[in-house]
This record gives sequence, C-alpha cells and structure tokens, in this order.
Amino acid sequence: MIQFQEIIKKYGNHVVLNIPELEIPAGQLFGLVGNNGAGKTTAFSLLLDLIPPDQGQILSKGEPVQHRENWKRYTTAFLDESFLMDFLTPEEYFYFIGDLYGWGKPQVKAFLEQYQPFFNDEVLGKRKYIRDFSKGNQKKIGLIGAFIGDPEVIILDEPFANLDPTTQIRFKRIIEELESTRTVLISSHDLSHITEICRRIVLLNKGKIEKDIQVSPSTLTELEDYFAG
Amino acid sequence: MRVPLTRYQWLSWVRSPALTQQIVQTVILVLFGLYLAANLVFLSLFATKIMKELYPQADPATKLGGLLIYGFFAGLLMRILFQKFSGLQIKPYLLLPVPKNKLIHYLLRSSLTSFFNWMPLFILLPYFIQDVLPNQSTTYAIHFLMFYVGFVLWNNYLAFSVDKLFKLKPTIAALPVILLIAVYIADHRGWISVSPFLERWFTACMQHGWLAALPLLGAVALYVYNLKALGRIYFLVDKNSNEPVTEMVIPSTLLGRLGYTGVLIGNEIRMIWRHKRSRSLLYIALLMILYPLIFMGNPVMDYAGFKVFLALFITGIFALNYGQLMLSWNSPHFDFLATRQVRIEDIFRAKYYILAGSCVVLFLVTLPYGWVYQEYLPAHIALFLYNIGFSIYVYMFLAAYNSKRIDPSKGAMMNYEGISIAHFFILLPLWGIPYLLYIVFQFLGPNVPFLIIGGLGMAGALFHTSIIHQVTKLFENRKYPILSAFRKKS
Repeated sequence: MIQFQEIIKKYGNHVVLNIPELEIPAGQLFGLVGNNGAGKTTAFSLLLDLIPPDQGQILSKGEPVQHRENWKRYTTAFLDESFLMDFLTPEEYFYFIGDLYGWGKPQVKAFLEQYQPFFNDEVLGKRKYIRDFSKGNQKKIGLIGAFIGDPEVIILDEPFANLDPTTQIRFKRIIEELESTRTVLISSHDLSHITEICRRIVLLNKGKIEKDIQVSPSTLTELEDYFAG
Repeated sequence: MRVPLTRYQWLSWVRSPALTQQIVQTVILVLFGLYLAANLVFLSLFATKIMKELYPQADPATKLGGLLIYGFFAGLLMRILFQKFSGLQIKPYLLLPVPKNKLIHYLLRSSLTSFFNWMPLFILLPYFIQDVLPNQSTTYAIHFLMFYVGFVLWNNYLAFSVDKLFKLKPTIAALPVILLIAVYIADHRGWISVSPFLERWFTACMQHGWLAALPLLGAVALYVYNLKALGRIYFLVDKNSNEPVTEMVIPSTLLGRLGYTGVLIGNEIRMIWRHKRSRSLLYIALLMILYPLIFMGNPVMDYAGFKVFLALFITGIFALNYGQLMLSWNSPHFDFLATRQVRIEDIFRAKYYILAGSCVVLFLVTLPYGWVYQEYLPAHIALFLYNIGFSIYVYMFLAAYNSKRIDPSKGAMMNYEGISIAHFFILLPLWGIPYLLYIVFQFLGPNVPFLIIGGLGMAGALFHTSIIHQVTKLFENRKYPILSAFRKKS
C-alpha cells in the first residue's frame, strides 16, 4: 500500500529522517514510536506531501504521492489543529468533509450516530464553533473527521494525547472494530495503547528505523526496556 | 527585583519570524506619521492666520480654542475606533512572581507612546510657542498647556478603559462618530450652536485654573480607576462564550451546481462572517459606499482622473482588502485543505466568485451615483469590469508569491499582518494602469479610455476559467514554501 524508498529529509545539514526502505501493506494497523525529534511527524508530513523529501520517494498504491492528487481520494489524516476549520461548528465541519466525498447530509448524520458514545454528549448539538471547544473535544472532532469518506488509509498523529481515559479506551475500540481492509498509521508516546492496537510497530530514533516489530505479548516489555535504557 | 519588561517586549519583536515584514511596516508607518506630523505643524503655525481668514469678526485665539476642543473630541472617538492598547502579552507574566500592579502600570504607561498622543502635540506646540507664549499672559500659557495636555491624557486613558474594560462592537463604537459628524454639520449650518459653548468653555478655562486642571485630574482619576479595575479582571480568563451560534445553511440548489467550488464558496462566506478581521472589511466596504457623498457637487468630481480612482475603489474595495490576503485567510487550516480532496484550482475559483460577487454587489448598490452624475457612469462601469476581469487575478498572482500566516480573529483596524512590501510593488501599478490608459487614450474621445479599460476587464471576466487555470499552475510550484510559511505563527 505504502512504500518509503530511499527517503532522506534534512533541515539544513541535519538529517531528520533517513528511511532506505519501509513497506506498509494494505490493511495493516501500523504504529510509530520514538522520542521527540525521532521523525514521526516528519514521516507523516512527507507521506501527506506537506513537505518535500530531499531524496527518494514515497509511493501510495504504487504511485508517488508528490505532485499527485490520486492518493487524496482514499487517504485521510489528523495531525494537529491545522486539520480543523475552527470557525465551523462540528456539524458543519463534518458536512463539509462529507461534501468532499459526495456524502449527503443524511449519510453523514447516520455515520456520526455510531460515534455518539465516543463524543459523550460533548460535541454534537452544542452550537459552538470548534475554536471554542476544549483541546480534548477538538481532538475528538478531528479524529472522527478523519473517518468520513471511507478512507483506505488513515494517518493519525498522537491520537491519544489530550483525550480523557474513557475516550482513549473508546477510541481503541473504534480502531479495533475497523474493517480489516483499512490501513491505519498511528504515532504515539503511549506504549501500552499502541502495542494493544497495532499489529506492527516501528521504532524511530533520530530519523532512523531502530526496530521493526511484529507485535507479540512481549512487545510492550521490549519497548519499555528500550526507552528505559 | 527589576523585571525588564521593555526588554522582553523588544526581544519578542526582534525574534518574531515576521521581523522583516514588521520592519517594513514600521518604516512605512513612521514615514506616514512624519508626513502627517509635518502637515500638523504647518497647520499649527498658520492657525492664527487661517482663523482670521475664516472668521474675520471673532478673536482668533478663542475661535481656535473652541475648534481644538471639537478636534479633541473627534480624536477621542478616533482613538476608540483605531488605537490599539496591547503592548505586552501579559499572560506569561501572571504566573511569575512579578507584582500584578507593576504589569498594569507598565501597560498604562506604555500606552502613552502611541501615535495618537504625539499627533495632538504637533498641532499644539508650534502654535503655543509662536502665538501663545509671546502674546498671552503667563497664566494663560500655563492654563492652555495644562488644559490641552490634560485633555490628551484624559483621551488616552478613557480610550484605554473602553478598550480594556468594555468590549465594544465596532458597529456600536461607530455610532458616536456618526453622531459627532452630524453635530458638527448641524453646528456648521447654524441649526444648533455648539461652538459658542465650546468657546465659552475655553475662555473660562483660560481664566480659572481649576477648570483648566479638570481634564488632567480626570486623567489621573482614570489612571487610578484602570489600575484598580484591571487588577480585578486580569486573570487567565476563559474565553469560551456560552452564547449558542447559529448554523449557517448554505442554499444547496444555488451552490450545488458549482460542485466542489460551491461547497468552498459556502465555507468562505462562513469564514468571512465569523472572523473579526474579515467581518470588519464588510463595514469598511459599507463606509466606502457613502464615500462619494463627500464629493457631491464638488468640482473635483469633474476631473476624470478622479472618477477612475473613485470607481476603482468603490466597486473593488472589498475585493482589494479581502483579495490581497487571498490564501492567508485559510492559513490556519491550510494543511487540511492541502491533504484533502480539494483542488487548489477549486479554491481559487471559489475565491474568484466571492470577490467578483462583492464587486457586483458594490457596483449595483452604487449605481445610483451614475444616474445622478451621468459623466461618472462610464468610469463606474469600466472600472467595475476592470476589477472583476483584472484586479482579482493580480491578487491571485500576489498570493502565489506572498503568503504569510495571519490570525483572522484579530481586528482589521491598523492591522497589517500578512501585508508586505510586495503588495506595494504590485498594487501601485494595478491602480496606475487604468489611470495611464485614461491619460493616453483620452485624446481619442472622452469615453474611449473607458471603452478600452472596460473591454480589457470584460475579456478577463469572460475567460476567468482558463486564467484561473494558469494562475493555479503558477501556484503548484510554490506549494511547499507557502505551506511552510502558513505554519509559522508570528
């Protein structure tokens, strides 16, 4: 589904990401871990063509993402608050996204219905602009926005940060219940959450892949040992 | 412990990512200020002469004294509308062991350096030195200085209180301005008599020290009041408003036919209405509609170059103000637009329809001026077409080369965020071209230049789809620099 080929990204002379090869097959629940500055957000930004690589290319369905538009049809992302339109109400935001994928209002409404427990009565029908919601609720809006339009690839940066414990658990369930055809890429600092939901975890350190693990019951300990050391 | 607040202010300025932009703006503002100051000094030096000329029967000093009070009231209203009192981002200091009073004293004192406090001095001091000191008694001179300087301070701190303590909506703040203009006109025409009252007030102040001291005492009282009131309210306030917002339903029949572009237009309209800066541009457009009233029956209307200028701005003021920041309005959520199935071409098309739509509305609303002044009509039509068929593309071109992040929730008055030197280099020729065409072709007949300008605009408007397509290509090469510029908060 997604291939990183000889990717090098520098800021000045400083190499922030160096991935010679990485392939993520369709339907994988893929986790990215690493300390600050490891290159997680850079990797996602390259994948979304928000920044250009200095070398190499990233393919999505065999086609380079750079200067192309096709991947946008089946890829969605929520990296940070710049993925929200904060002058809209949550409903307007969801309908706007729906419009982009040809989903009518009733379809979006029905879709949102299944996420009522996740929103916990704090988001829908509040008649507030997104900018007036708390950070946690803004995050909920952005995350659910990324599920609209039947995307095949979903990219989420730090989805658990700012969420309350109940919502974190509910969000894990949402990811687990996704159809097995969806490719989900998640970065997180929360090792127990990410080992719980992801089938494969890649550990980045200073821009390089340090470990590429198929998740097993011992993975959490392995990661904890690595970061403790 | 001394906390170098001024130094931190300076550092935040110097280390801002938009430093060059700020320097350019500051230089332009300073030049503009100097120009204004020179005008005021000139006016001040000739004040006595002008008074004698205008009111041969009256005592020039008294007449001027009354007029100055008028002017200072007008100044107060200008301050309420335009003066900015932020100075220091006080929030980070509230958690530090810096006495809160010290911060508020700093805020109050730094407000004195404003342009609005210097301008009155330029009109007062030359007159004071040239006319008051040599011709009037010492008591008079002292009273004069005390009264007007007190007035400046009183205005400053009153505007400060209004800004910090009462959040006025621009619409409400504009009402007293209209009222003052109405009073002035009524007074001028002799329907009511305010100036004799002001002159008596002035004369009384020159005689009685306690009267002259009143504004100064008022200023001190306001200073103390602000100090107390701000001390009470300056906490880390939660800005969440509980007022429910109305959802804006965009009629789908109208916009549905335009596909994605229609969806984007709907969002753009919401964006304009829900952000402070873009919304104030609507008020500015509204004021611009009334602007030609000033020139009604004035011979300057007959000067054709002026018609070009007037028509260009009346029909295109919103397109200019909104369009020159084009994509910057979307800068806070541009990553979203860039990664979703939104083509940049659709964004530009949506912008085109919004901007051209604003020109159409303004054109129609101001069309009656063309009925009253038939000689103005050709310019009105021609420059309207020029705006929709040329100006808007220039703004798009500008967007590809100059895109800065802006915070659209800040007000529009005295706000130059996102504006750079490139705007001057590109906008001046844009305004110059129709004027030049006029000069060159007017010899072929009075309406020939307007036919040419209008024809050019018409062609541009008709081919908007292909022109926008070309502009979009230009933008595609600039995608990454623009995306990265939009992520930099100033």
